[in-house]
Amino acid sequence: MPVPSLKGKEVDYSDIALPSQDQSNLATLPSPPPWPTSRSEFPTRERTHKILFDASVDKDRDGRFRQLIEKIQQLDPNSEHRIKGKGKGKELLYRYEGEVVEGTRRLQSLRPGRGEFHIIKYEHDQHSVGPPPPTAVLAVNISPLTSNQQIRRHFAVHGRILSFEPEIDKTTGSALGIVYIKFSTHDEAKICVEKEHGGKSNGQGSTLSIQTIPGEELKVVLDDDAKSKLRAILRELDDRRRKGKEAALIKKKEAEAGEPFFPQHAIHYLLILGLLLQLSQNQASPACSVTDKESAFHHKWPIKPLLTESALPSSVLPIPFPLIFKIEITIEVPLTDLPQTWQSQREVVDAELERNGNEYVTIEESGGGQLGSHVKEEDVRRFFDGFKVDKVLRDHLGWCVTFQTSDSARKAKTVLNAGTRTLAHTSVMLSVHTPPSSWTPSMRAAAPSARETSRRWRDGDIAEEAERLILKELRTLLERDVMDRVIGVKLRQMVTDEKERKARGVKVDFLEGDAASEEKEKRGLKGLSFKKNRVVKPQPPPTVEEHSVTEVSPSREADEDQVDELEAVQRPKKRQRVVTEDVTEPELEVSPAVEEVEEDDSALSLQDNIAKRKEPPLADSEDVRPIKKSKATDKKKAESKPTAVEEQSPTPDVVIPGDIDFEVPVITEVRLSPERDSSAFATPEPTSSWSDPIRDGLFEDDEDMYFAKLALSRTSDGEFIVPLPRVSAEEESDPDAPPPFRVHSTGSARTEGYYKITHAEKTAYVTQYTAQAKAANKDVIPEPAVVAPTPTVTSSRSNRANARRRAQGIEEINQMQRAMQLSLGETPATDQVKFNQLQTRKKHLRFARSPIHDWGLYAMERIARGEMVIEYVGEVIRAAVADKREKAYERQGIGSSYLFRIDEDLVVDATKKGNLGRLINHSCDPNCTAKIITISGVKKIVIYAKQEIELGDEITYDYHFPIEQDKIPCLCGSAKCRGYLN
Amino acid sequence: MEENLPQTQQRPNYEPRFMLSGHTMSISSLKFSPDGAMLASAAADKLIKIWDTYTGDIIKTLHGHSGGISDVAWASEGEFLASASDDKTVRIWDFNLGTAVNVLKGHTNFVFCVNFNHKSNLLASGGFDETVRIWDVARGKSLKILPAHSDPVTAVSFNFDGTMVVSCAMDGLIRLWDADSGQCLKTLVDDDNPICSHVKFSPNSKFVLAVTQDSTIRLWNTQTSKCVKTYKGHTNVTYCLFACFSVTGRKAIVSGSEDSKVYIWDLQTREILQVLDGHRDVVMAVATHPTKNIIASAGMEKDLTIRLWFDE
Repeated sequence: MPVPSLKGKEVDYSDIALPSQDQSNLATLPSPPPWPTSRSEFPTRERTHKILFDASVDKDRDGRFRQLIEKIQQLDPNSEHRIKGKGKGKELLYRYEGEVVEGTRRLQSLRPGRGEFHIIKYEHDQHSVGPPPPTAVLAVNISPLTSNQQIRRHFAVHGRILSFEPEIDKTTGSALGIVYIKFSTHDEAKICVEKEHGGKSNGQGSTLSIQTIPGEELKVVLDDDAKSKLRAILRELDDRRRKGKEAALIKKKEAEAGEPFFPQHAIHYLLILGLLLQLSQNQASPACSVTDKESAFHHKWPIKPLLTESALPSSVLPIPFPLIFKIEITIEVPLTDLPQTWQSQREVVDAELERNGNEYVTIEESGGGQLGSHVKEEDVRRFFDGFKVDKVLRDHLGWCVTFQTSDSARKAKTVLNAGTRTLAHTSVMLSVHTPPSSWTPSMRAAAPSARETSRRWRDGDIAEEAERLILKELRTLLERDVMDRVIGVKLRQMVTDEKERKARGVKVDFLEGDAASEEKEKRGLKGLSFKKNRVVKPQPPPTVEEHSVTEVSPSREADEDQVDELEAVQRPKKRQRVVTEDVTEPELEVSPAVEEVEEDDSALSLQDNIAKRKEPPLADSEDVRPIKKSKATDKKKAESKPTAVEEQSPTPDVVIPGDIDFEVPVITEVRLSPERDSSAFATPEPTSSWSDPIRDGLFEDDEDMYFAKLALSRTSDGEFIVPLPRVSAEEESDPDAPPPFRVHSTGSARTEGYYKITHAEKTAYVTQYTAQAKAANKDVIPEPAVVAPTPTVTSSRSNRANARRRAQGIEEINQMQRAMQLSLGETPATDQVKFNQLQTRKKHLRFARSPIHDWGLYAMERIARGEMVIEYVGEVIRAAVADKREKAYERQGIGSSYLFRIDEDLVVDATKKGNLGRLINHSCDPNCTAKIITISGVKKIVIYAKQEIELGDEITYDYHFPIEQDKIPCLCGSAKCRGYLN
Repeated sequence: MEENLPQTQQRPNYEPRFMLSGHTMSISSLKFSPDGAMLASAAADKLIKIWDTYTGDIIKTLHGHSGGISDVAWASEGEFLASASDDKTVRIWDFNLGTAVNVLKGHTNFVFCVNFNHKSNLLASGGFDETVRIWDVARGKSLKILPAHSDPVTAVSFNFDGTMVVSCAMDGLIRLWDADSGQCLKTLVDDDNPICSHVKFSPNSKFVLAVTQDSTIRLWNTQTSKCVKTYKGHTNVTYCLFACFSVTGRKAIVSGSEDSKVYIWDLQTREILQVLDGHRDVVMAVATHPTKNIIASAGMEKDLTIRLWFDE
């Protein structure tokens, strides 16, 4: 509609001063439309005007409307229609009939014009129908060697991860590089897809912190909650695997049949390819997976198809599947004749397995890795204690256990996979395999290849080189891993140690007296250790060969952990060499022979020896002993501090030095300590006679020893304060350690008087708390060796004791919260957490149809006489309310009455709110009684057993209804039945 | 007028006779030997000292604990003693040898109280690990562990025939246990359960004397689980004070107090018969002589003396 113009007047507005931003708008203000405007032909009842400005409600911030009003008043004689209200500044500015006055703000249309129909999209909320937008993403092409934590960390950048499900190969348990990640919101998932999709990593410099499969992009797609895409991928994988196997079999048959189409050479080539194919596809046949020597090694490693020309279905999904390999024989990896060793080992194991004929079990660590080398046959046997173990076999892949009976393997799997037992302190997974027969496909495949190696070296080399290629890559990855996890951590630790030491420098100097520098301090410590006096007993130096043979033992090479260890052995040593220079230097003068051979190892072991040798003189003076010991250990620490391996080096070998066959402590992390092994070798014989320090060479004669004792015992007088800060530092550094017992300043518990012991403190020494804490985090707190004498007798009692303790704990929390609220100036709320003691004493019950009436309650455990059965829980209402409700319920047709009178005033109504207690039926000869007890001022109805209640008995009590006119028949069926309830 | 009354009706008139000093830290417990000739005192200085009741001489000092001692008890023949210590052990001492013959380990925290049964073949101990442990004295083995309380156990005691054990704890509960089965027979609890400091059976084992840290001593009837007498007037809000029956003269209850005095109440009338003044610090430990009108009391840190009060 054209804007009507103000009647015949041309006004120059330019002289009006206006606020800055609207100046131009107002300047072009058209003349006001005529008034009254011409009425529409069809008058509407609709409002034809709009209040542009109302002084009483609108704010005229920049004075725009004010000016407008004045302007209009000035220009339009009929302005009283447009401007209503009296008094300056209190007018209402009207606009009629869609008249637009320039200068008033027009809303910009947010929606662009649409030329076609369009489906409206709403944000998903609780009113929406249909599936919610996907919050999950599916990431594929992640390198299977990437650890789950790493992947998780990588993706956690984009949002909170609700669930993280890495897919594993169902047959081998190895990672597939497919991860299903569920974020908390759709947006996060979307961002993740945007950021991650198409990412590529081929080396250190990439933006991705995780590795993808070499040559492939990381693919991240949205997936719905039903994991439809994931399933599709897995199905596809299965399909391909199956087809691949079939194809391989066909090829092999063809090859065996000696098709003239292929030249002899090509057949062999194909055979090997078939073999490799099988390996990398993680064969479905369990027999293959174990009988094949390389399989376990390979299956974790994706071999990227570089040259795909095969009858196999071409890959739709970029999942690594080797079809045919182009193997470059260029890498020089110095490998020994490991494969041969494995081969022979494997053959022995295979022969054993075949001879046994029953199903056997292989052991794998729960995380999917291989078991470490520390596991021994006895451990395995102990693990399988109770099963008829026939033989425990070991090869480079791990452990195989055969059984005397055919079903033992499966039984063992079901029992032991439950996780109750641990093998050498690690939880393991068992998998059952059928025994290899002498003619399994893999054997067939292996046999010709073996034959081939003897005849045609070129082809055999191919397989080997493939292996080396893989090994090399594995090694680089591991190196990086070790760099990240082991060395990085150590470095940091070292730095902090150094700082700490500097901070304590003043105190340490005390030892020396005049020593100023740290260097000197160390020497001072050494001087104190009588090392100079010692006649050097040359230890047979460990030979490098010995070391390497055990460490790089062929049987371990395939084992991932083992390789890891190998790396760890080499790498930290270098670093150590750098750091320990100042320590090894004084060693040089003492034992140059040892140093020549293996400087760092010997340095360490010698230090250990020093620590050890300091102990002998302690044996004869008992009262000095503890102090001296602590001093010795302290010195040991001081010495080994710069090596940054202090915690690891001394402990194991001080206990049983030289005894290689000792129980290796559990290694939870990859923090492998080469020192442990090396020192074990470096000190092949323990200092056999610790009792005689003189013979040991620590002291020259009795007099010397006497003075030494004197010097050491002086520490007990507190002259040297070095050990104290060390101890306290240790205590502080261990947050997991239970809080130390309170030290009574007055001397004993009784003289201390009463003091509050917090719940947390109690966990340190009360078994029950410990058990609770243990449930939360398992093997952190060792259980005190307390044997409950008669658990049957004490169980219910200790239950109640526990309940009380829990109640107390909750009470403490409540008190704390109240105190906090008070301190914040708020009024404390009533107990946030209420604890119902009765709840914990409840018996195990269930409800079922009852012959007495409708539903009844049945005992699921034996209940002794006098024990509490259940509390009758419901709304506590006044009697008057109860009467009303009763009538209301009757009207509503709720036939059963769930009202229970507590006393004159109060009734418990369990009709709408209550527990199982309301289902208990009446009986004229009941097995329970209802008692009203007062717990902390609140009356409660509790049902107690009147007699022994057997398993499955219905719980009944006497309702004790008052006698009334209209009788309710009783159906309790007991001999003493009165016939009516009332 | 009172002079005419039989001895059991007369007001006691205890006078201090000996002041025994020797301990260097707070004395936590005093016990007369069964024949009354000796007095054992245990203290926070990790020592147990044996004194001659009638001369006040020190007879022996037993050392071996590595923590302060909270309680000591005599076996009925007077040959052995047991002590409960902060080093989490109970030690059994041979009085003649003067050394520990057995160390009972098992408590996971400070041991607070210890007592023999009348036959002295069993020993009950309680501690900060909230358990009551029954030990076989001869074998030194723990027979039972009663998860008795939810706070440190402050006292355990056998009844006369050794069939019941009474225990009390800082959670305010007094529990009666069957010594054979370890079943809890009864729980005596007040409405506002104050911290319970000490508990012991009356000589006829029908009553239980319970000291609580609301400055009250109560006498409970174990049969009816009712509180029959309440003794007030002393101060007890912090420490686990001892209380004793005095049966040699007029039947009375004797207890220390945190106002450095010793109070003697008439058992029946609950009136305070005598207040023994003299200590300079909290009187935690008191003991009554089994056959004579003698009371031993000991003060804490600022006092460190054991006083023997005689009434003749």
